[in-house]
Amino acid sequence: MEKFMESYFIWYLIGIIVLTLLMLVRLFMNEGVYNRFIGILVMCTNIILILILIGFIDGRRDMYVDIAIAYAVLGFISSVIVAKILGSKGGGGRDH
Amino acid sequence: MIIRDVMTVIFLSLGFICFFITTVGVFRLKDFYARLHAAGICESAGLVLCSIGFLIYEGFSATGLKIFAVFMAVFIASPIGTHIIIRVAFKQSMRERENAGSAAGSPAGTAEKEVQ
Repeated sequence: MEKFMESYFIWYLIGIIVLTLLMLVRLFMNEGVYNRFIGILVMCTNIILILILIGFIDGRRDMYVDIAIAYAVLGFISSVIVAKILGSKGGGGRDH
Repeated sequence: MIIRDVMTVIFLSLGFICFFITTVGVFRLKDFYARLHAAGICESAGLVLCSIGFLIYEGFSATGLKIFAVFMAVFIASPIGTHIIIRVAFKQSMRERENAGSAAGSPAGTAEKEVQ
């Protein structure tokens, strides 16, 4: 039974990584600051899941879950900061 | 033991479906706000289901509590982040509409400018 769970996690990880790379493609495909920011937001959540998954595959779960917590908080803070920059006159939000 | 694994597989697969829906949503939806709504699905629904799956597999232990902490952090933080971004984008499009409106002299009902 353990073997099955192991391979299930690995296939699950491959699936999530494919989804994240698709989001990366989307990030570069369309222009505009706000559309690209959506790509970053979704990739950030995917990476949190990837981290926890690697923890479960690797066996050393505590370490990876801690990293996932740090990444979740940092992802949120970065989205607030980007919004602040875009909001102020400096950002402007234009791409060219 | 078997029940634990079966439950984990069920919840994780549901979580994966949510992440897949998000990716399809961000690719297919036209408007900026609809796309951001799709991004919101993955953060709340996807992580909830995956966290439940991991908690079941992990059992009640320190790591389980940490996974619950991750889930709570994202569950509280993601709506706030999405709200801030929508507010800024909306103000930006409002500002552009006023500039476009006053410059071109067209009435206020100009076409909804797509948020870049």
